[in-house]
Amino acid sequence: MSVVTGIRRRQVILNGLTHATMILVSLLVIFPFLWMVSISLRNNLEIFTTPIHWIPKIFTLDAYKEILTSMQHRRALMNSYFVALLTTLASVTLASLAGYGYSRFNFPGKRATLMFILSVQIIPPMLLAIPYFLLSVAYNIYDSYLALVVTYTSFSLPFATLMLRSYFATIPRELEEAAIIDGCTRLGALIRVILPVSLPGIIATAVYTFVLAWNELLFALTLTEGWKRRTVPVSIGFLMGEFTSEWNQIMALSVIASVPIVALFLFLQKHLIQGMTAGAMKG
Amino acid sequence: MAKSFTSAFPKEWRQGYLFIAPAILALVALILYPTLYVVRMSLLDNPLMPNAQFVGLKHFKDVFRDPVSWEAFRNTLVFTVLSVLAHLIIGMSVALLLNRQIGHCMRSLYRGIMILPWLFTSAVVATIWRLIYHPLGVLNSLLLGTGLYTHSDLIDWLGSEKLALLTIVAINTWRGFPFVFLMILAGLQSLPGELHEAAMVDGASGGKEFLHITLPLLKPVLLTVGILDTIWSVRHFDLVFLLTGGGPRYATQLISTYIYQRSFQGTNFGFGSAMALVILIVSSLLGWFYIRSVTSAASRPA
Repeated sequence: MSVVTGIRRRQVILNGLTHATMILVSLLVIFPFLWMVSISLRNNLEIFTTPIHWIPKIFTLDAYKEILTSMQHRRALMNSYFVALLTTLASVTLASLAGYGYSRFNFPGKRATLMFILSVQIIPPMLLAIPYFLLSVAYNIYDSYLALVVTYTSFSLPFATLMLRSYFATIPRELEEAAIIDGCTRLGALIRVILPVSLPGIIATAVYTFVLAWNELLFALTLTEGWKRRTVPVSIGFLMGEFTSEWNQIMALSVIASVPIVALFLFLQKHLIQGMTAGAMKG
Repeated sequence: MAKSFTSAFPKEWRQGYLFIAPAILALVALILYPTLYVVRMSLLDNPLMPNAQFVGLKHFKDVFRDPVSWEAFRNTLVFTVLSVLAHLIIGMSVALLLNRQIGHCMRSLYRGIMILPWLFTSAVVATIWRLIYHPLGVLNSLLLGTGLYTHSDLIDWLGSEKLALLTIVAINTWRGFPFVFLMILAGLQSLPGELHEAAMVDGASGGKEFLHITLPLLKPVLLTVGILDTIWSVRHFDLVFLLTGGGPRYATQLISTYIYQRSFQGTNFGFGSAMALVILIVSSLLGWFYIRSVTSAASRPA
């Protein structure tokens, strides 16, 4: 009996240690975010103090006011939302069609095109930035929403297609066979039968695509000029470059920029993780 | 597959092609064509001019003769090796902790917290850490408080030629470990529970169990995630660009940031194209290893 309680006690102690360690690690991981919020709520005199003011002595929303009343920053937010949403729409649409095609049909070139989709992910974004820049200038779509949406879709499409393909493959064919016998077209079957059933997979793909598009920096940097089409990450970069004395504003903008990400994280965490782990799977 | 007598292409083929066509065409136009465009540009002397001459491998020679290129290669190697190792070690440690019997709810909570650094845009990550590593920032203030150094020793972490790259590696470690952690955790949780019980019955202690049972079984996951992380690290751009721009004096210049500097700030697109193709070749080799490791893992009996 005492052997069993001895083991039990050891387990309890180890579990306690595990929790203690995890709490410590969590604090280390979260601290930068807490610091970001803390800085955003103070005035500029309290940024670099000795001793450190962990919580501002004077709370102020001035930084947020500055950012939210600035037309350029509001425009940047709107641009980011617009581009990210359009990209998600385009990617999910094209990827659903292709994923359905790959999961239901056999045709010559199926394996070859799949390898193509897989291989295309190896091309580094910096390599693509050069032709995207030059071609967008040549075709007169430099500094346009079209250029951003099109380039963002291109780099999220491979992953989205492969993910939806393996997701659709788990759905039994009998589901759409029934609809087709009733006179539905293949496309109709996809839209009316398969998509509703695959909602979790679609959401995972959509959320992951949105996050990638929202966070993107390189193409937004090289394909836009001026504040009219600028997205939030570029805005933050410029703010940091120009006004390294207005840290409270920089942090306020960072907090505002992170709102959709945190929202998606809180409500759709499972889908996000599904997307993240699928990102490493072969097709 | 039934052959249709009335058309050359059976219905199944036609439908398959129709469904995949939009995506495939998009990728051909948006990825394949631009890549070929880059190859062409790397072989012309002045790609922006209409009457550019074919100059063969001149740009590639320029790349390999430029001492800054070699700085970039070296820095990228250091950055990649250190980042990937750090990600693996930390990711593995946290995954092992969370794999213990701590209850599903708590595990989900901790797991959620752990993935936060990866979710935020690099611009936000850069601003927070630039402030923390600021000469007057939190880190230095804390170090001053411990009495380990005085005001005259204040280190400008991101401005020091010796320390800037390591500082960025540290930031990238915090930023990038969630993905590795998530994959290793998934791998750990897919291991059969009986193994742990069997190990305890056999008297294998925690350390022995880890070394002889868990680690070998995790090898496929570690290999896969390690190669993927390496591919991503080699092409890294965002944090370095935002935090130091490649400086001070090329101490943090990576391949991607140097391409950006020569092409977009310097308009030498031929040079940039050639160097970009170099990364592509390196990435392709790594990608080949990745596919091999994934397929060999899949073919191994469970």
